[in-house]
Amino acid sequence: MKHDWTRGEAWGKATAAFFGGLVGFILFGLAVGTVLPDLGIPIGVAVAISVVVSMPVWTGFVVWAVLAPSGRGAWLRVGGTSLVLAGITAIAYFI
Amino acid sequence: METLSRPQRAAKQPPASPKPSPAPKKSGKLVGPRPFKLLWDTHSVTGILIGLGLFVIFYAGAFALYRGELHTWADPALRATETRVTPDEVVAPFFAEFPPAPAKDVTLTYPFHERSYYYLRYQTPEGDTTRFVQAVINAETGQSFDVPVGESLGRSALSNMLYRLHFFAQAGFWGQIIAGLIAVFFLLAVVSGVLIHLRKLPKDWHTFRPKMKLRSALADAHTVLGLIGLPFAAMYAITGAFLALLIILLAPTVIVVFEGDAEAALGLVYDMEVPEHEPTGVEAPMLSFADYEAALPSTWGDGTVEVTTITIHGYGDENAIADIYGDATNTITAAPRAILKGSTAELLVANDPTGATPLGGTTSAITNLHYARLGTWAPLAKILYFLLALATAAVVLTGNILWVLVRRPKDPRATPKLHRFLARLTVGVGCGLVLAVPVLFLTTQLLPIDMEGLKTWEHVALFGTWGALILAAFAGPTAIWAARWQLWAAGVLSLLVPIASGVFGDAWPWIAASNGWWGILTIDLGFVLMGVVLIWTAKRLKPDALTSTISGDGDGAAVPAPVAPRPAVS
Repeated sequence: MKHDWTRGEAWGKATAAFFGGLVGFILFGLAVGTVLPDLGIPIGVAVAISVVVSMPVWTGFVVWAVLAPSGRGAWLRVGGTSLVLAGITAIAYFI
Repeated sequence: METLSRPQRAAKQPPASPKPSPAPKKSGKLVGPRPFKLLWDTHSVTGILIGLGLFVIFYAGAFALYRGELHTWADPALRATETRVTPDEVVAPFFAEFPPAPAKDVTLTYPFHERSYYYLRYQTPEGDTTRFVQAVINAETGQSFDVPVGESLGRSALSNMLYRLHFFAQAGFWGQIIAGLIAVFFLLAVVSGVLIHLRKLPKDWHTFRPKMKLRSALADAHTVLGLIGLPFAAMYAITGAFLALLIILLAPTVIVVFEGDAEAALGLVYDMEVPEHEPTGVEAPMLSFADYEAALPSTWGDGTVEVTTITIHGYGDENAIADIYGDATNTITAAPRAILKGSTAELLVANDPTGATPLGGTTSAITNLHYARLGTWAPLAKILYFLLALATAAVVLTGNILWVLVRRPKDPRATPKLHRFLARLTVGVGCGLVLAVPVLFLTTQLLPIDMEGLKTWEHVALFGTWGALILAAFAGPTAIWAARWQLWAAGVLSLLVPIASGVFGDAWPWIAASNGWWGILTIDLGFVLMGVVLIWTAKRLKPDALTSTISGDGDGAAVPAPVAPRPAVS
């Protein structure tokens, strides 16, 4: 290993990257699928964008989590973004 | 690379100059030292976790590209150069002997792309219940072969075994999900690999030194092949993950955006809503397949759209519909589909066969890109895909081996057990599969195609051989010893495959070329190429290379050889 990993950092980042990234990837797809139609973009275009872009977004979440200063920082990044995405989805869905 | 502690680095600093120092020279690094280290570790750990699974996906996937051709390679009776039998001539003898059950579905898949045969599937009454009738029919001769329910299409299982292995379908639904997750993490490995090599990309692109020490040659091969196949790898990571995880991808959207209405989501793909076709119980005569084809919109008949499948839902019922799917030859984004009334051939609904909805175009493009269905370019694209798939499989294996090599301690006896295990597992799974595949092909040719239990023997040939070779990799004196003999054997057997194809399958290259069996010719020439490369690789693992690299204690080298520095590029 090139980086000097501590056990906490390794587990924190790995779990944030996988599980947090998975949740973020799902919420990103939902946010795109609900918000874009509200902005006048056809639902078919919105769903197409969500299914294609979600996968690289998951990868982006993983890279972002790994580059965080610590395991806790990784969860804050991924979890915070997921909360924002969930909020956007909820607003677009209910309002 | 020299590693210095912080005090040592401070001691090596030049003395402070009273003159103002010139502007610091840029290091040229596009990724800082810390992100570089983190990404390097991410790349290597991801590679180790998914490596062997990814190798199987790419190696089996290279053959899965020729899924249709492999059916005809294995079974000469399915070979056809043109379609002479009409769909109605195909179904007539079956319907006469086994009439379709009322209000059930009848599906006829046409010869298209690499397939030279029809595939018929429907249910026929049997006592108080029904049973499936399934058959493949040669499009030129009309010769038909039953496909027992639950068995793979055709008399040989070779093609389907490799296709299903490509996404671990033998392990069921979860196998496919695991394959999809591997694809996602492959994308991560690609992205992190690009980021860590970004600074040296122009130099790494063409630095391959096969005559250097094995570890250097492996490192070069890993980087060069990885860079050459980069666009291909990224495309396959995204399209593979999409196809394998489509259910997971779409499920949340269907639940939230479409409030659970999957039909509505599917309607966006085909730009149509399927008409109501619940059976009424009132019988009505069905029209012929020719009638349905004649009733299609004119755009289907001008040569740009071919019928690929017709499914008659509720055969023999007044409410039956003929659901027709097509393939547009001049675009990869279209998803042609038309629905006719079964009893009158009245056009109920059809989409633009050469146009595409955003979602339909996306799914079609992803599918066609993944399967190399690129219109008239498909044969060339498949050859390129085949070579790149094998190259990517080699990148994965070399990555695994390098991971072990760079972590080898100076005293090889101190090599951790986990590393020894990984080295042997990599050889067993990687070289083992490379050897088991020609064993499977030879088994298919050597055993009679109409032999009872052929498919069972084919499964034994692939999975039995592969399992035995994994065990052999652990039983031998060294991992590299096992790798060497397995690669030798794989190379020799690969060269025998085209000979067996000529002797037992009557498909010598010149015969295949003269008959236009281009798929069969490509498969046989592909084995010649693989045989040569495998033997060259096995020869490259010569004893002096082993002594300085990956032999010694059995799995590690006596003295780890450093990776030779790459030459400067002007």
